[in-house]
Amino acid sequence: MAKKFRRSKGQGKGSNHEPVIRLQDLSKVYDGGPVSVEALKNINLEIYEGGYVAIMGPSGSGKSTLMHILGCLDVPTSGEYFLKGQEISRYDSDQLARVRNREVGFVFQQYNLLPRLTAAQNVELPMQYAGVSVDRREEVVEKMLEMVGLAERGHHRPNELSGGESQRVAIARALANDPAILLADEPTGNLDTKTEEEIMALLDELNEQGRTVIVVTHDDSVALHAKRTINLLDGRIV
Amino acid sequence: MSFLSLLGLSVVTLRHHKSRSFLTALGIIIGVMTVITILSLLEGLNRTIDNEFRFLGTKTISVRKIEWQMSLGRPHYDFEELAKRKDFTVEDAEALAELPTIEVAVPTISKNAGNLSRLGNKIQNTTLQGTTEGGELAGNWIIEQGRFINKDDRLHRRMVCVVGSYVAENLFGAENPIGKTMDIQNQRYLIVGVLEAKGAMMGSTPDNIVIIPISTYLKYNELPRGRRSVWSGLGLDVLPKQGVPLEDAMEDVEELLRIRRGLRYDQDNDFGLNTSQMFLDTLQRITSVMWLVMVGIATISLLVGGIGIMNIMLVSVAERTREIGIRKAVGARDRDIMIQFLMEAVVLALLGGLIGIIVGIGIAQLVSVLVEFLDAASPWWTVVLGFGFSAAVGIFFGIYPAQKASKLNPIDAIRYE
Repeated sequence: MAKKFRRSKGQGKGSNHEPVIRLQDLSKVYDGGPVSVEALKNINLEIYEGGYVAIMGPSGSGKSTLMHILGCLDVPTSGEYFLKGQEISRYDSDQLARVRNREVGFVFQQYNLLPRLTAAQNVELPMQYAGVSVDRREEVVEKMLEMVGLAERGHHRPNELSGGESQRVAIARALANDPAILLADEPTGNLDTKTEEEIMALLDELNEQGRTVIVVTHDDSVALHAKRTINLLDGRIV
Repeated sequence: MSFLSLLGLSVVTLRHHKSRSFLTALGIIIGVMTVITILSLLEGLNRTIDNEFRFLGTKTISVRKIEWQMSLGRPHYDFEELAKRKDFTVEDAEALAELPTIEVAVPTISKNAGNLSRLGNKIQNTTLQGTTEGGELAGNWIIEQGRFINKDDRLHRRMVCVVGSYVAENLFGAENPIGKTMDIQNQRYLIVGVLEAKGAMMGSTPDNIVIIPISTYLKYNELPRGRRSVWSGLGLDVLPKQGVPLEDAMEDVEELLRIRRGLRYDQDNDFGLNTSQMFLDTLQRITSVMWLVMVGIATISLLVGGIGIMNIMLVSVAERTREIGIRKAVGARDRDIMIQFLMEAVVLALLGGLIGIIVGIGIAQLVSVLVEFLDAASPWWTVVLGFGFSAAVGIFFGIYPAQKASKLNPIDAIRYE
């Protein structure tokens, strides 16, 4: 693709030697009363800029927990998480909110669009929390919707969109603040095969443009799109 | 998020639940409405007191056979006994005037002069009052033109009169009444003075009056006897000296009158010492009752309204757990969520306040129309107060739900069904 290195941020400085994500001895324990569950055990992992990684494993293997920690929706019990060289596992809730806002874009299986907002307003949301000016927001919304092929659907509400369209809006929203990494948690779990292919093609294209993409899935056909697969079993990388 | 987008968001959310929002705001509406209505009525009452009771001359003691009673119900008088009470005399007034605490004491008697007319102009129910030269001070009159009746007028029973501003305007119009004559009940009087207006009071006007020397009055008018003497008999208007406490002057007057009327120590007074202070005291009582009612209703309804807001906001937080999770996932900080929900509670309360203010002003205006002497007014500060109260209630009762929303864990919230 011609516009391979369209991403502006982080291209020059870090170079490809410093991983964009580095996990060191990372563990997560859910302390549920009498029984505590060790969801992740001493995970060590490095993901480089421009990487395309599939995280696989059966349910209960800890892949969702890992995804939530990578996406700063949850914090590890021990170990370290370096994101673009910053150790963020001990960040407070405001700092984590900032990381979620600027550094990671999250795509969910359930789309998780706000039903009362239009597609365009959903895409705009992360930029509102980032304090981006109205003019700039409109500009980016237009660009993002065009990128996911929904330029004409911006004024529609989620209940007027198909599953595939909703997921495209979700991807546009995830990328609105130009994050370093895109995290997708079972992004095609609710979609038919044809739509699945379209969404995966979109993720492939984003990766080709230089975006780091991490997909959690239990579906081999999805994992085949990635350049690297990490298998989890009982909270360990195997 | 900017203030405006948060405001817009609140309005959109509240509009989504129109009837629920309205019912929630009802407590605030009633509370603010009560505050605005009663404050407007009190303001009106204060203005009435300022404008219309001022002329009473709050220091003059009106000595009458009867003791004025101010009550909201029918006063209880024993007219049999009252009618037997001894008449006051001009000499009583002269004796009272000698007291060191008294500035001036005058006899006064009045009656309805009936219809008066001049060159086609007609007025009705004019009061004809007889008094002495001291009546100017005792009656709290101010001369606008000419002079008040004087000692010579009294001694020579002159046919002179001083007219109130109402009489001057309605009988003489633009003409200067001084030096002209007017006929009252077949007697012709020379007008020597015009009084400054005191203003209307509860529909009657103290300015519809003609004052003549008491000696002249008594020459042409019989003193009322029996029951009629209770209200219309000769009375004494007594003005204490400047700086003398009203109570001290009243004590002196009472003591002297008891002696002059031959009362034994174990007999009750057979006269009443009346002051306009009594009117003011009664109004004060009405005012404080209104305050109590207002504070009571407002406190309860604002409290209930506030709890209603808290309740509905808790419901709203629970319903929108997923929304909160999504917002946090895309980068909302705890305080962004907090402010969003707090804003919603405050906007809800302010809408209630706005409706309450409008309805409250409406009710106050309606009362103004229905009650003649009350001219209710809603000064700007009552509106500020209404909004202030609603905002305070919104913030106070909105904080807990907003805090609860802001502390939700993003993962749990986003998985919430």
